[in-house]
Amino acid sequence: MSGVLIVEDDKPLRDLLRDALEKRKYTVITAADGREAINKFRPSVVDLVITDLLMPEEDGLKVIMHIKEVSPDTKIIAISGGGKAGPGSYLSIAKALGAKYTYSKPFSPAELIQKVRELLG
Amino acid sequence: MEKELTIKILSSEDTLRVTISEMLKQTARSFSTEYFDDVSSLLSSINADTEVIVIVDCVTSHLNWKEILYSLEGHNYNLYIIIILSESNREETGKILEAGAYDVVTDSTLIAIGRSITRLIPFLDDRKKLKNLSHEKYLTDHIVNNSRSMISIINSNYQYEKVNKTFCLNHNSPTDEFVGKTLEDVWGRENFRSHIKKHIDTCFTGKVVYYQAFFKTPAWGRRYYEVIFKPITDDKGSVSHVLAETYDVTDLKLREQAVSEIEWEYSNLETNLPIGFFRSDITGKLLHVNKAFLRIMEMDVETEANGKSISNFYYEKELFHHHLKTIKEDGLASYSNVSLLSARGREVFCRISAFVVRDGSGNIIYIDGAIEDYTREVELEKQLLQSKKLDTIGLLAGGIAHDFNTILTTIYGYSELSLEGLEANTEAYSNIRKIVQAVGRARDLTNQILTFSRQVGQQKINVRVADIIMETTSYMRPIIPEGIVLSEEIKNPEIYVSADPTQLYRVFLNLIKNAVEAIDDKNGRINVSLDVCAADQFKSVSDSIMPLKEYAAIRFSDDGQGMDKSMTERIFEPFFSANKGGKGTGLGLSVVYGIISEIDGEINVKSKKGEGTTIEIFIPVSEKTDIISDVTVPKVNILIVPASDNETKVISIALKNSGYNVKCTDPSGNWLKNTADADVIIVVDNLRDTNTSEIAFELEKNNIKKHLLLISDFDSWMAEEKNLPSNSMRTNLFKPVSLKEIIFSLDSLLNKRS
Repeated sequence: MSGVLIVEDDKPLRDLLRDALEKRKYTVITAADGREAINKFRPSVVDLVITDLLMPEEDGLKVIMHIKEVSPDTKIIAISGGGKAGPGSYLSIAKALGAKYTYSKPFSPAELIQKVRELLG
Repeated sequence: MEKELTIKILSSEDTLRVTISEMLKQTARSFSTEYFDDVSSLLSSINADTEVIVIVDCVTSHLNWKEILYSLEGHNYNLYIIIILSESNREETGKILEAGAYDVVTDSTLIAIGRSITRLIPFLDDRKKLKNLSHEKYLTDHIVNNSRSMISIINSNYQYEKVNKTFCLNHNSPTDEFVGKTLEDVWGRENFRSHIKKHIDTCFTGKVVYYQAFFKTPAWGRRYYEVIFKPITDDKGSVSHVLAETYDVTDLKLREQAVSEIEWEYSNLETNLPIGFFRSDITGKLLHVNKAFLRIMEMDVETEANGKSISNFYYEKELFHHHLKTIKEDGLASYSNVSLLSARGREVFCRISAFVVRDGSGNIIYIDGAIEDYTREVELEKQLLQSKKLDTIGLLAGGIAHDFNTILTTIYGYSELSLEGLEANTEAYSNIRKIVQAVGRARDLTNQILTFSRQVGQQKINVRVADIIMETTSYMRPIIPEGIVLSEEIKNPEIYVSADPTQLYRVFLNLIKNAVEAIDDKNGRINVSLDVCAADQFKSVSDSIMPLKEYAAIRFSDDGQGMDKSMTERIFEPFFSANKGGKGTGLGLSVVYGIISEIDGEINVKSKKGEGTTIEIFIPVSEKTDIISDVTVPKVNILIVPASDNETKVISIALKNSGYNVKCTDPSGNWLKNTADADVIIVVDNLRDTNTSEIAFELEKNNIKKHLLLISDFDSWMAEEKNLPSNSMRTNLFKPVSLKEIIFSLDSLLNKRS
């Protein structure tokens, strides 16, 4: 089964996404910040990354750049709760860097999981 | 053979003696010098009949000129005394000359001794002739020659017949230079013809002429003289000569001029300084005020102020009595931040300073004082504080909203997960649906907070303001209470600004809704006006902050309940609601503030309790171009459903101005044929004739495979569209939607296609 890396600093949301994905039989790895995500990311086990953008340590944009560099085929979905310049701006950058889908919080996790299924076939 | 001159020098200083000798050598006359250390030896050397020049050095001999002149007086008529002083002093010089000295020089201008003696020589020669005259005539001449006035006698041919010594001294020339010469020769053709001649002619008719004028004299430069022409009659009684007597009144004149200049400057200061001056009696009744006082207290003429008590300008009369008492007790006092009331009822923040004026016996007769108007500074400070306060709240609230959105996602996500296994008719299902509805409300709130704190960003395009006003009023008119008349006054329809039309629409809607609530179910009027104005026309705003350019001025006026000052100052703060009963979220005006600030606009509130409110919005005018299209915007055909809705019209304006090809249609009849050439169909749920999920189903049923952007309320999406089969060609947006979000979603949808 496909592997998904969830990068989110908010533990309840991270748990929710993990629960929802594990329920659908995905292998889930979680990371609480960008640095942990970069350390944990292995292309052999991770097919898709869901990453928050504003996080302590390295931010989500750094994560996306790293993944696109080491493994261009890995699918990425970016989520953001809005920051100084607005969620749109960060999400636009994430998209430009290669994120396939972007979600502005609050979003429907069910819809996001539909997109995961669509991307992972 | 010229007679040798004897020069006696009274000086105890060798250097000075040598210097004087050097100076004397420069005069072309031969002379002998004798030196004396004290007055008595000098006196005993003087022979009564010989002509002697005495140079007295008052600098080094520590002698007083008065003593010297007193000792020498009466000894000899033929003494010519030159006094050397340490420094020049015109007044003292005058006194010395009056006391009988011939000349005065200073030690810094010793060269003048030479000149002084040179001038003296012709007189000494004249004196030889005088020796033959009677003693009486000699005395008269002595008086005439020692007068400080220039005296002359002029004949009917305007020639000088006689001039006195002072006249010659002033011209630095001997008598011969003048006698026989005409006034025109001496004073110049122009000067004589246009100034002097007419006075002399008048005098020849028998009248005394008196006038003052500037004259240029060779010895003293430009001097101001008082001139008197007196007729001299002959035996037959006709005027044969004119006696001219000229006094030097330069010093007096200069003093007069200085005084009047100072007076002029003071009166100028008093008139033009922005400080109000007043003089009152001891009870505070005004006796005199300056122009600035009238300006500050908004009065037209001084008579309006005089007689009024200063207490009339105090908000609190108690405070006035306290101030008056302190000033009388302490003699002077100064108070800052005093709130006064102008004659026209404007609140004026002032510093008041005053002191008492006493008569000779120490009784207080007046109170003099000044008021400085700080209203503008206080207002500006308040505005700055207010905008800083709003920024701080925005930063705080924005941070909370951001975290809140994360929490809401979790609440929402678990609700979704829980709903998955539940039958729709169970209690748990209905309870969780209510949680989801609450999430929808919370989402709406965080969106408003983020808009207020300017954290959402705006896609700015060129918008014709009048279009958005018309869409707003035409949307509101059918839904406002019957007793309210909503009108527009578009004074200038061709005003463009750089903004997001959907956000302007949101601002205008909020302001009209606010006005409706202010009228509160009664009859009333709401007027929306649009005009163009310059930055300096909105007075409460500092012109130094606003660059000088044109602004679109949009004014929303209502005749509702109005607000007091403390309320108008706070209405942009989040959750501050002016409406009783807590209608709305209290964020409407905060959203307005956030959106307008984001596009460099300003908001001004004018309100009076019981009279209504006018909210003015000023947005910088942009260049009038129909489309600012980003060159990268692809030529995309967009169909918007429905056509007959104000919100969709605004979205359609926004997209057209962003460079898209836009068509609109209502979802009725055989509308589906309109979808043929559309790349994207945007459906806006309006809770009336257009339901996004119904349309999505209809398109699916008819096998129309188009990119679909559904815009609806979060809640109705939750209830219906969520149940639509998954489709990667479909995207949802929730109201209130911004152009930025729409363009972002369109890009996402179309990238998928490519």
